[in-house]
This record gives sequence, structure tokens and C-alpha cells, in this order.
Amino acid sequence: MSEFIAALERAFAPGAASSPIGALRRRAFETFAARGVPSLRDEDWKYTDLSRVLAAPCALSPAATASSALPAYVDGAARLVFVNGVYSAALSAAAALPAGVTVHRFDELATRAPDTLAPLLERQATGRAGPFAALSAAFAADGVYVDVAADAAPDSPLHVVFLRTDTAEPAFSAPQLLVSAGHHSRLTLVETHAGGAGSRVSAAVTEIRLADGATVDHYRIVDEPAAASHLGNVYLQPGRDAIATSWSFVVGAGLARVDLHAELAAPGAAVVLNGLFLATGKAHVDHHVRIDHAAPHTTSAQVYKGIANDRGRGVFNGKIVVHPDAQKISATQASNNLLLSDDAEIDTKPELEIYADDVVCQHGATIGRLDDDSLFYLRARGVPRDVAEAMLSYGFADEVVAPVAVPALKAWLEARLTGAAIGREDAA
Amino acid sequence: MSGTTQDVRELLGQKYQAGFYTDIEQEQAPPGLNEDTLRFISAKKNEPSWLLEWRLKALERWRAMPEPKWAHVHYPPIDFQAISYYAAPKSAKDKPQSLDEVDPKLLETYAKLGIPLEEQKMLAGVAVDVVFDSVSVHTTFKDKLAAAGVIFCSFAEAVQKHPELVRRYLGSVVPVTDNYYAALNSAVFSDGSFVYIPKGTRCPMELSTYFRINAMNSGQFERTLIIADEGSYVSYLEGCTAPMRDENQLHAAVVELVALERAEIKYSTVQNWYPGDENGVGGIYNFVTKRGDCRGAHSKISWTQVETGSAITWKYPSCVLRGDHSVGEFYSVALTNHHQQADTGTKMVHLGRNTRSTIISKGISAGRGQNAYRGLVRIAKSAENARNYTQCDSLLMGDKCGAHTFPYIEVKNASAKIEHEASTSKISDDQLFYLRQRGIRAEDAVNLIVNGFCKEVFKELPMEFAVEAQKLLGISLEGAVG
Repeated sequence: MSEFIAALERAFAPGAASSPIGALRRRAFETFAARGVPSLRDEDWKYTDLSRVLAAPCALSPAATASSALPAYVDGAARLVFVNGVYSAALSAAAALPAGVTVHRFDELATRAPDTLAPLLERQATGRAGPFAALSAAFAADGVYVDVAADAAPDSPLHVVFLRTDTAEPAFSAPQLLVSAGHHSRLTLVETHAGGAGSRVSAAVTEIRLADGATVDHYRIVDEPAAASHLGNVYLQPGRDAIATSWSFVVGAGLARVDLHAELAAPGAAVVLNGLFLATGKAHVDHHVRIDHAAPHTTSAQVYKGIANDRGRGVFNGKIVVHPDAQKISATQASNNLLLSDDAEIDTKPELEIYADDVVCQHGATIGRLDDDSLFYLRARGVPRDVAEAMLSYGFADEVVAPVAVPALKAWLEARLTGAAIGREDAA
Repeated sequence: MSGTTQDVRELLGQKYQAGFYTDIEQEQAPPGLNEDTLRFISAKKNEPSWLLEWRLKALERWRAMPEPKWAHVHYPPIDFQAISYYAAPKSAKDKPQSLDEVDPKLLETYAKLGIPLEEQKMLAGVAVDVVFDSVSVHTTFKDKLAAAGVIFCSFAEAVQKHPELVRRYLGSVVPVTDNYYAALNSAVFSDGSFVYIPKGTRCPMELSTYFRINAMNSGQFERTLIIADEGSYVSYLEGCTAPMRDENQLHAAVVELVALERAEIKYSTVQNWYPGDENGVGGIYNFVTKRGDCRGAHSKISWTQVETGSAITWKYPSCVLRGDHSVGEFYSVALTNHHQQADTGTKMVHLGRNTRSTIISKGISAGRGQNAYRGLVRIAKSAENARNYTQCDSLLMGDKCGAHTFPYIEVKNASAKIEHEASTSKISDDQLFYLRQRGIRAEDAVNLIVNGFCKEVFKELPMEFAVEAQKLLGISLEGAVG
């Protein structure tokens, strides 16, 4: 057993085995420990080496309430803020929650209604969602369960922010965001992982279940320091005629791995998955998408864009599975990547597994640097090289950023992209 | 309409046309695989001791390797000890010098296949090195080739006559330890073809080998080695059919191509081994390692394959683009019908500067066939200005079949330009309707559409092969849509 797992086991305090939650946490941890930290020999982890970042022992993040400032785009909005995995009433604006949105914290559910919480974590505990979702379920002390009432359609977005304080020692936390969107409801959800400096590991899980006809727009932003390892897990389950849209923006973190899984098990269900990552410095960003078309008349569309600079490395693995008898499927997928440095690397693997015949499935992948002619055009008009590159990279990323429907977030992303593309640390 | 549907059903249930069995006395090694088997094969072939050592080392490495499980295919475990690793037609002992000396039964076999040697000799520029089970029986046009300095002979003969070439290049493209089946082949390979094209020579004709698997329980393990020296060109054709048989047969060949500076090798395959019956019983297991090494600058290796046969195909003809400005190409049509499974594709490994590769893969799945494209495009840090274009399309016919795509793309150099696109769909009802309303029968319409789908690959095939390939597809597919 690795030191990483051993240290976590020592810190593991799941609560009484007799309670459903205690039992579930034990089971989840056993699932993780039995599986162990994946190695490069695992097909799913072929391009992402965890042996370095998950070698050292990790303590649990200390409880804290104060933290560095909230991201600019969160200001003034309805928000739930967790610092080092613990709910912070001071930073949250829970009173401003939109009508029809009810929020339950794991902390209180575990004591008040453990029988409600346990089934919510069941999928993670079984290991079906991967080793780090199981690890997250074992340690998620305080997560959030958002319940949207049927027909509710709040007009402002709900922010859930997971902040970390500066830490001297490597620290571990397990943020959890579970959403249940009621019949014909609409929700815009912005999930942010950000905060202070220091080495750390997060095993974060987001699960969004949509009842028939519901619509959820989910934005997920990872903006962590270079010493941070982010292991994210997103699960989407739209009901009949429901539409789940999930955006993954990874603009920071030394190592970020985001596993997205959408299960389309009801006719008319649709998912739209978009993503953008920046891998600068020595960053390593890995998106793993799996879409299961298990019912007929389901639709999925994906666009993932990556920019790798310096010694950054970007990984994309997208798998579309069309199950037997799931006819009338439309699935598209694009993985477009920009390499801005000779030391950067992109590995992409867009997969299709199709067991039905009445389908239209397409995928495309491109990898290249900025177009020489376009650069020349701008340079010839007196635009400095770095600005020209920034303009072109921005143009490349804009397909994914332009449709962002939360104006403050869109402005923040645009500023961030322009700065990062030129390599200016002070930008944004 | 109903009449048409009837025709279609009949066509869909067509029996394998090349299925028959020639009863020739075989000299066969007892089933089993151990050091003695290798010594037996080696002694039979009167091989030098270094080659026996090489085989023994391969066996040792093979034993330590796990059987690969990653391919998207399913089959019962293979008992490697139940296979006989050597079978040679007896009449091959004293090699016939002309057709008259060839066992008439052999000639009969080829006549049934529609490829009588007599006629083949006449065919424009095609020399045939026929491999009947494990020993080369007859080689034609040898003199003409010899005049050009081209060496085209059986592998066993090359070992005797050109040991320095064999020793220098054998295993240099596909190392013994490359994979499980390559290691197995290295240990037990029986025969195959050897080609050497000298410097600055354009091979005067297309070289061709017909393989047949014939003997009961004898896996066939060919080894092909083609070396194109500086500035040379060769086009090599490989085509296969196999007699009908109820027991699964293992075929694990290794093909190594070496292209030196400015050399070009064009390797074309039509593979039509017995695919098993409509219930998935029998059929060939085709686990092949094919790799070309563009060793010199401006060299080019082009693979074209039409895979319609075999119960299971597991094959990735690849190019290592080592030389600057070298070019790799892969054109493939893979068809699976009934219970056939195919996991095929290519690897393009770009190491040199300004290297280019093109991948066009067309997969057709019908019945309960499972068809997977698995490919790798790797741009190493040293490969400045590398370029790759990949297109893999799948056509689905029937709601029980499957089409899968597993492309790996790894880029470590920013100057690379990589494009990959793939699509999967069934034959569109609109296209069918368009053709039907013009009075074209359903199966002809399907044939037209499928041929159009595969056209990009067929146009890469030499003419005779293109005709055969179209015919094969027609037989295998007509009526898959009724």
C-alpha cells in the first residue's frame, strides 16, 4: 500500500459502523484501497502519471472558515462557499438562494437524515465512478445536495465555491456537489474550485440528476495553484427530454484530471459537454469523457479545446458508447488542440463504440500550432508577435467561451485567456 | 420486391466459395510447442545454428509474456500445445523446377480457386511465390527477376543463400519481444517470402504471394521480409483464401519491411480466409504483426489491405517514419459479416523531420460482425513539421453489428499538423431510395453505395486486386440490407 493511502487510512474517521453513512464510508474506502492508485499501465490512466503527485502522505485539510478572496465572478451572486471542505456561513450568501432551490449540507444530512444521504453516495461507493469518486465518498465530511423543485426556474445562477486555504503540508479534501433537478425545472449552476497556495489533492465529485424535461447548465471552473492536484468526477443523468449542459474550464492546477460520465437512459435525453483547458508551466490536464447512449432518440454533442504551452501537457479521451438497440442516436465529438511550445504535448483519443445501426456518430480531432499565414497577416500589420499569438489563441478558444451565458464568468474567462495565452502571469 | 428480398436472403446466406480441402500427404510435426519442436523445424529446414538460437531465445521470451487481452475481440482460449507447428507437402522435398513437377493435386487446388499458375505466369508482370501450408512449392519468373538483381524467394531459401541479408534485417523491424504473437512467430515460423531489391532498381514486375492454409491443426506462421535498398521500388501483393474447416486455425504471421533512402515499398493485401459459418463456427484466427521501417530519407511505405475473411482479425500494419521526409500510408477496407470480429488499424510513428502519413480506414459491419479501428499516430519531439491525416469511416448494416473506433494521437512537437475524423452511420435510406426508384435492384444499389464508400481504398490497389476486392465485397455484402 502506498504511503498516500496509508496516511489517509490513519486519518480515516468514518463514524459509527452501525449508521448507514459510517458503513457506506467504510465500504467506499475499501473500494478505493482495494483498487489502489492507478498506474500508467491502466488504460484509463495511460497518459496521466499519478505516482509522483500521489506518492507523499497527505493530511486532511484543516478546518478553516476564512480564506483568500472569492473569484470576481461570484461577487454578489447567490452562493454556497466551502473552505477546506467545510461550509463557511460567513462567505456564503445562502439567504439569496433562488426560489425553488433547497440546499442540504452533508454535515446536517448525516445526522438528521442519513437514509437520504447514503443512497446519494451509493454510486460512488461501489467504485463504478472510478477510484477517486470512492475516495471522495469516504472522506466527504461536508458536501452539498441541491434540490430544485419541479417547474422552478430561477433566473439567476447558483454558485458553489470550494476554496482552499494556504497550506504548508500536503492536504487532502473531498468536495461534493450533488444536484437533483425536478420535473421541468431549469437551473444554472457555477461550480468553482480555487484558492490558496500549497500542495494539495482534491477528489471532487459532482453528480447532476435531471427529472423529465429538466434543463441544467453547469459550469465547472478549476483554477488551482501549480502545486495542486485536482481529481474531478462529473456524472450527468438526464431524464426523458431533459437537457444537461456541462462546461469544464481548467485554467489552473499542476495536475487536473476530470472524468465526465453522462448516462442517457431515457428517450429524448440530451447532453452537451464542452471544455477548455490551458496547460501552461508544467501543468498536466486530462479530460476523460464517457457517454452512454442507452436509450433510443438520445443526443450528445461535445467540443473540447485545449491549449498547451511551455511544458504543459493536455490529454483528452472521449468515448461514445451506443448500446444495443439504442437506435436513432446522434453523437458528435470534437477535440481540437493547440500546441504553443515544442516542449508541450497533446495526447488525444476520441473513441466510438457502437452496437446499433441507425445512428449518426462523428468525431474529429486536430492538433497543431497557430497558423503561420494568420500570424504573418497580423505581424505584417504591425501587431507584436505575442499579441498576435494571444489574439489567435483567443480566437481558437472563443468557440467554447462565447456561448457562456453567465456574463461575469464569461468576462473573467476572456480576460484570463488573453493573459494566459501571452504567458503573462500578471494578467487577468 | 418480395422476389428481391428472397434473392437477398440467399445471397446473405452464401457459402464460402473457396471452401474445399485438398488431400495431400503431409509431413507434420506432432502437436506441441517446446525446444524440440524448434529443433525439429530448424533441422527440417537445415538452418544455421544462429537461427536456431534466435528461435530458442524467442520461445523463452514468449513463455514469459502474457497473452494480450486488450483487443476488442472475444474467443475461447487457444491451446498452443494442441497445434502442430510444422506441416509440409511431401512432394516439396525435391523442389519441382517447373509446373510439370508440381503435384497435380496442388494445381487442381489452384484451378478451383480460379488462379491456375499457368495463367498466372501469363498475367502481366506478376510472379507468384505460392506458399502451400509451410513450404514454398513453386516460384515463377525467378530468372527475369534475377536479371534485374532482385531476390524473390522463399524465406528458407534466403536463409541458405543470403544468410548475411537475413541475419542483418530479420527482427530489426519487429523485434522478437514486440508482442506475444510476434514472439511466437519468431520461435516457430515455418516459411514465407524474402525480397531484396538492390540499389536503384525498380522491380520489373509486381511480386505476389498466395497463401493457403490447408493442413488440419497446423497453424501457419509465415515470416516475410522485404528490403528495398536505396532508390529502389517494389510493389508486393499478398492474397489469401483458405479451405472450409470447422476447427479454428491460428495464423500468426510477421511481415517486416525495410525501406532505405529514397526507396518505396507498396504492400497490398486481399485477405479472404475462411470466416467461419453463419453461426460463427470455425474460421481462421488471424493475428498478424506487420510493420514497415522507413529507415532512409525520402523513403515511402504504403499499406493497402482489404480484409474480408477470418473469424478474428487482429492486425495493425504500421510505419516507423525514421528517415527525414519519409512517407507512410495506410488504406484499409475491413468487412465483418455473420460473427466475424476485426480489430485492425495502423500505427504511424513519426521520428524524422517533415514526415507525412495518411490513414484511410473503411469499416463495414453486417450481421453480428464487430469491427474496430485501432490506430496510433505518434509525433516524437524530433519530428519537426510532421503531418498526419486520418479518416476512418464505418458503415453499419443490421442492428446487431458493431463498429468501434479507438484512435490514439500523441503529439510532442508543436509544428505537427494532425487531423483526425471519423464517422459511423448506416447506409442512408435516401441514397437507397434514390437508386431503387431508378429501377436498380436493392442489392445492386447496396453494392454501388458500398463500392463508393470503399473507392478511396480500392483505387490504391493494383488493378487485378481491385477487381478481386470488389468481387469479394459483393459476395460478402450483397443483401446485407434487404
